[in-house]
Amino acid sequence: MRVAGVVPHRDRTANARNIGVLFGQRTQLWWDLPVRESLALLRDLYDVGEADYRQRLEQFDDVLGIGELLPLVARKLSLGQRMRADLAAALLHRPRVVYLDEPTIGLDIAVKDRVRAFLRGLCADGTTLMLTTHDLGDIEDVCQRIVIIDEGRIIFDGSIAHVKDSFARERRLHVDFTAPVAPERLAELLPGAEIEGGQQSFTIRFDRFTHTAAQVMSALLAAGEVADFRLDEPAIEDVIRRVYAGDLGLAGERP
Amino acid sequence: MRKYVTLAKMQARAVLAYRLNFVLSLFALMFQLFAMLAIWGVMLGSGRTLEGFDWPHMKAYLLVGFLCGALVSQAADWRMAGRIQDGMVAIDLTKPVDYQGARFAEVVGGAWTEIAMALVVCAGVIAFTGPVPGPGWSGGSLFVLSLLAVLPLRFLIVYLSALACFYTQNYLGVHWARLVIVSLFSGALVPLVFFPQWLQSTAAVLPFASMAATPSLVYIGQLRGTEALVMIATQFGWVVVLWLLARLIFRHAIKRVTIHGG
Repeated sequence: MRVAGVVPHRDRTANARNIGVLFGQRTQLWWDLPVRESLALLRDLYDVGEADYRQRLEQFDDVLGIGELLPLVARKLSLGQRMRADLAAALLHRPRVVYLDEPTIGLDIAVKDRVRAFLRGLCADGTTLMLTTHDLGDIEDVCQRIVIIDEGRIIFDGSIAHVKDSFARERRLHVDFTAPVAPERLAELLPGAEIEGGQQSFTIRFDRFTHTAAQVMSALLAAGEVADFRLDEPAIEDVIRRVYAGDLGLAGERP
Repeated sequence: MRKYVTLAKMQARAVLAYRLNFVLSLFALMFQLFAMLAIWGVMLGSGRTLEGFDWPHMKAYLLVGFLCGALVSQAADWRMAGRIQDGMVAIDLTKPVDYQGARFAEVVGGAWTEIAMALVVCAGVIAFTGPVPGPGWSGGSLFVLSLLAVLPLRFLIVYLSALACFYTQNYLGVHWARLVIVSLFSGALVPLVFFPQWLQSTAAVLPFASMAATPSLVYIGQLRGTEALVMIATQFGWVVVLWLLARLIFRHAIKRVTIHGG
């Protein structure tokens, strides 16, 4: 196995220069020293030039707001602050491959969004990200390829879009009419869709490859006057829940 | 090289965070020293001499032993073992530095507090119990040379026992076993000449005497000239042997790492 052309167990230090690592559960900051000192140490460990280092800190300040954390002692940081500082520590030397173990664990929504936006930016810049997470929002927001492991076995390896196309085809449209509509009329207008409910409120379940949402809407408008509607998008979370529950067998596609 | 210097500087500052803990644990060492001084004070009282030791020389011997024993006795010891036990070693391994060299740099950086505190204690003992004989000029330079080998030697013994955590997953037992073996065979508490012959010959082939007995004996002038140089060369020989041995063990131990995620 090679990582960026290097065999990790044979050439640990060469590999170490190529990679950046973040463990959500552990910190690589020096517990008893200000964050600034830890970053300065990493600068020297990775031979980062002074000008490059300053530029990097400014970047981190823009996206992660690291500036206010620099003078603080690591053990006094909150979890969110610590994670931001740890992200900066993992990425200071511009690694080509970054491993992130639960990078958003325990973070509040605002910080989580910031971290995810930052990770998307990294991907766009050509950095390879490896993310392990239990937070499926991380995956949907950041990743292109997903590997699902269950009890040590790879049960799926493919693109996020593929997971959704294969296993999250069903969409649901909830609709309220201003006056009662006969369910038979809807079934007639929407062959192949399942119709639940009655009177004025219905839930239409349809395959997004046989009907588009627009087709469904125009059928509904033909049936009566629509007061309100809501569309449920398929979520990766549902798919994964069903995989682990054993409802879905993922054949898997190997890219 | 710069990375190791920075690591040493970082540790030199980090040890200050634990100064209270440090002073307290030094107290423990200090009481051990006071107990030994009291016992030897009685045995060598009113000008008696045993195996070539009179009271002032014995006092100097014990103080040098105490100084040697204070090195790498504090935070570094538990820190190295702790990082292996709780899996932080995984993070250390993602850094582009030699693992053993980095740990040594940290120990060198942290040593100044240990040296400073040991010197304060020695000064206190001398102030209360009277002066100790000095080593003289030629003895003094040999003593400094011999003392220089003690820091890497003590580091290596502590580092090797920390590596045991890869196998035992627990450090307390290893720590205590090491303390007992080192204090016995290093001659820091009782000079090795007082041992029965078989124990002396055992100590002679072990590295521990190099960690305290040699500098102590050089200081009080029982080892001098060529004899002293041979013993000092032995000290540095042990540094090389243990350094290589530690590398060998590390290479094997590292394959045993299993770190569980959250």
